[in-house]
Amino acid sequence: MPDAYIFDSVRTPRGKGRASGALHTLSPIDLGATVLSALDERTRFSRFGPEDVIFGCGDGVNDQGANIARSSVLHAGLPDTIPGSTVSRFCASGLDAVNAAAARVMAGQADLLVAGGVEMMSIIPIAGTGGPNGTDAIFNDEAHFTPLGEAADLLATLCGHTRSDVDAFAAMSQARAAAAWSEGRFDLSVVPVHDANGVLMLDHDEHMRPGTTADDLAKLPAAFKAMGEKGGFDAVVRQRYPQVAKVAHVHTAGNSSGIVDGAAAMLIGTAEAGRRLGLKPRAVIRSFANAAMDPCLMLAAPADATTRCLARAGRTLRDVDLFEVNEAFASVVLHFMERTGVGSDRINVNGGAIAMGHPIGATGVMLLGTLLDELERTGRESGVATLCVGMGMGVATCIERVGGGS
Amino acid sequence: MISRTDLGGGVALLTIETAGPVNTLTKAFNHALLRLVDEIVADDAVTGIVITSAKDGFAAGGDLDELRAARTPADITAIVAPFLAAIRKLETCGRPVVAALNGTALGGGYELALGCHRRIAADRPDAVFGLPEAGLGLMPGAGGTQRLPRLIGMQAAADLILPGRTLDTAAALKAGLVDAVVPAGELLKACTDWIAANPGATQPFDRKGWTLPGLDPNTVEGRHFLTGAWARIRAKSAATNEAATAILHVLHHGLERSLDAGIAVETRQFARLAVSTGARNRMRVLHYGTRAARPSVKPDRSLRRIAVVGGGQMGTGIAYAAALAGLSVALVEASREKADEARGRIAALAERQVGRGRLSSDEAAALVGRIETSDSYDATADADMAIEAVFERLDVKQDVLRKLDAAMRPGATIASNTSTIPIGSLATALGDPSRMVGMHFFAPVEVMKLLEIVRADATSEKALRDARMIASAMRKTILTVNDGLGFYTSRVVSSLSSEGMTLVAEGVPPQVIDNLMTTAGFAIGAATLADLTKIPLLKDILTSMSGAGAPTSMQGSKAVDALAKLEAAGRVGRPTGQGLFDYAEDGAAPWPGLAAMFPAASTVPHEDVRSRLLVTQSLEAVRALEDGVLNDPLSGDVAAVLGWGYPVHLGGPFAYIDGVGASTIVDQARQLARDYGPRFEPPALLVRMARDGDRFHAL
Repeated sequence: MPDAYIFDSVRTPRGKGRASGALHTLSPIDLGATVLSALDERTRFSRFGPEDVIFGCGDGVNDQGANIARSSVLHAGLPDTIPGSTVSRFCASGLDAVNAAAARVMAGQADLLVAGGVEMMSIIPIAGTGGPNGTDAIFNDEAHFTPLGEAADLLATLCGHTRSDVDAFAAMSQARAAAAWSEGRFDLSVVPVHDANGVLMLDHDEHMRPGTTADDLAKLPAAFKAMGEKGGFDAVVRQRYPQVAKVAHVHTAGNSSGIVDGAAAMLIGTAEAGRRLGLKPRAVIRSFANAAMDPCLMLAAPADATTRCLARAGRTLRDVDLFEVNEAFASVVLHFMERTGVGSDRINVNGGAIAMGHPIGATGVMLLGTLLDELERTGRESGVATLCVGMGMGVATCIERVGGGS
Repeated sequence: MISRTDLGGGVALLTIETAGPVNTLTKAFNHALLRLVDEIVADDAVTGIVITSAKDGFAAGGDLDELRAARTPADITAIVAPFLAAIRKLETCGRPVVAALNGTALGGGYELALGCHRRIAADRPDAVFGLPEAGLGLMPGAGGTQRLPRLIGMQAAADLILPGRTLDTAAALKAGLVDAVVPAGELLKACTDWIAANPGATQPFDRKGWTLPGLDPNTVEGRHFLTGAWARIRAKSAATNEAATAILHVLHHGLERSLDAGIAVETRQFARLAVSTGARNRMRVLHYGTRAARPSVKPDRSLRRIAVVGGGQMGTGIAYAAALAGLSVALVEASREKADEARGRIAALAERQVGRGRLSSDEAAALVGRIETSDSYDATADADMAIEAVFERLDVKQDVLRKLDAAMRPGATIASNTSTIPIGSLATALGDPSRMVGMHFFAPVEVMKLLEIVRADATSEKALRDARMIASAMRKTILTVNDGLGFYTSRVVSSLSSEGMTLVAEGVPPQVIDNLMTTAGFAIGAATLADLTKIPLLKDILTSMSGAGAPTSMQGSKAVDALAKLEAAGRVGRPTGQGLFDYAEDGAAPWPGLAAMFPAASTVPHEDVRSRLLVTQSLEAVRALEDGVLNDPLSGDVAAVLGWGYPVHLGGPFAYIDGVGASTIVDQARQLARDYGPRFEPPALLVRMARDGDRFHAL
């Protein structure tokens, strides 16, 4: 079985996911083309036309719909002989794109692919696709539909996470992200975004609030309290978890992932394809895995996905150097640490989505790219990126640097 | 059933006249309608069609008896298919069709009107319009979920269809359920005028370029509405309101398709729902059961003045309800001061009803004026009947009964509002025990529909008739039972409370008990109910319900011990804010001391908690039937729903057994008896039914 290697990885900075966001006036294909062009500039992958460009996109509708990958290829002016396709598993779409690309390489059905992701949450809101989940009353009864924020507060309630626990975690995410930016730890991957006239739109993560303290965060209102108490969802989750007397609404805009626009892309292929392009493999994709659980509690599957992924790689939690656990909500990472016993010194060491934002379909690629950069920077070897996923799923990918050392 | 006459000028008049007091749309009617519509549509001389009724109302809905007799979704579809076809042919026949709504049009009757191009109603204040099916656990099945939202929008239609809300003529006009209102005498003329002016009438949704008014299910706003509506229903009724779920589903999927496809989606869900256990339980209890439990005695002039002894919550509630029914009331309290307090409480109650718009100020004043309060039994001398509602203790009640016996006219009926004490033992205080009857009211009396009437061995026909007459005047639904400790309702509720407190004693957190019960559809959980009852009072009730020897339902119960421990620790219940829960402004939280007071020997699985709470009630109800306290299962099921908030979709403790199957319940009960105590041993009657494959309810 051929190994699947990562040769390079780029991402856009993350723009605020609202009308005032720096990327809002662009189109998703602009972001898709930006990362594809940057990746091509750095690797010249288009000289040996990749088998496919696979983009993750959480809500592939409207301007993000109808195959944003192939559209982005053409918009980027890459050869029209490069195909494109999209995958969607909500928050893990990007990581699924990576895993799908790796699987094709491992299966011997492709020797070079681009995996990436795009999401412009400023124009397509989360769950903007529609679908039975949330909309179809019969399905909602069957699947015990729970909105994301309610599930996060339910997880916090069941785990006993207090408001100060989650705020402390969020403050740490902000501090780590600020430190990472100021030390230039993202410089290798982040490519600035320009508009059609070459005007710079954004060159830094716009959502961040460096200097945020736990005290600042404590002042924010609970984001999902009204939905839970007045909208009825507290009662709904108590039907599934009767041990809950009262849902603790601890999550706020400050300790939940930021709503942002962004894109990322990564070049994946065989060792031979790398040689053809004159590229040194940076890491090998050792294993990946999915997990699923009760869709009501929804957000606790990353630990299972990680355990399964590591078992496949013949590794244990102890001999993984770094973890990127998507900060969908602070409780998700706190729960992951409790379940796995992995300490915060190995998790999200450069901050995460609470500080920098979570562009749904692109995040998985960004996490893996960040992980790879940090492994290289610190001379470490192995890492896992994992995300929780809507409707109760989790996806994890394990990578190892090639040749060890830098 | 439906006849055709000529209104002149080529306008055909279809007149509905089915058997019975109102027009009920049976399968036979539906076929007759379809045949007639085929005939008229084929008649080129017809220029327009008016549909009206020969009865006082236009038409009520479909025939519930037929729906109940149906066994499969295909049976249901066969009933509605000709009706649906007839309506579609009418609205697409190329000639104007007008509904002449001479009176009330509900359910299928209103759906027929929706299939007309114009709905003109006679100006009658007593007529109502709409789709009330959800009230019986059903949904509109003749196009109502598709045509109404295409007329007034998804959200407006949902607001009416989900709760089964009907509108009077003025409100129906305003909401767009009818297009015009004219004086009754001009109804047919208004219809023919409209036909003359609109020769090419079509339905708006059959025209090119038509768009759905209001929210579209395939927009963010439309989806947001559907999600929110689902959550509100789900929060209130857990997953027990299958009708609401189905209605939202057909609005969603029907409105994003053509009318014909939408109706196919509606029919599929309607047919599924109509034969579902939940809908059948609702129909049985809410329609057939409450009808059977309505007092058959009409009030007459033999009961004009009643005496009520005791001015507490129950006494004032009874006095209020009696005065509201137009009776003159003598309310007796122990002192002038207490009598005045009681009067104040009644006046406040009337005032609240004025505030809610249920009484006018004049009516409230007249109501209070009908009540005389006194500290003397002399006030009862001219009463036709008395109801005592004093403290629940044999000696206290017997003292009052003796005084009434002395003060009242010989032979006047004396009733006790006891909830547990056998009437026979109270009646020993009277010279003539045959004048004694039990009238167990539920709090708050002015709200609760149920009245449990207890007939002791000695109770005379006259006393029983008097009790029923009062019930009829107060518009109560009655359950007549025979004498025994706790009668029927208190007996079953006590077994439930006892099991709830036994679970607490075994270390099950109170919110688990409450959440599992509300999830099953109960209005309130056993833990919160214990706090509301007050811990010491519940202890007294369960102690007295244990009677001389421990009845089966109390064997192995840890409730009384647990309640005594709580009482000793000062955990009195809701009134002090400290019971099984701590009560604060922002809600109730389980008392943290419970875990130490009642350490869990082992964890009781949630499934066992749930089945213990449900099976307990069913077993005790069967024992009450077996003992002869309860006369029939249907009245026991109706009383459970109306009396203690038993989930109507489960149909009551007897229907619950039918739903699960007697033999499965017997197996479950035996397993519970092995695991948790002999109180779960199934009674012989149930074992026999399991063996014979019997059910409590045939339909």
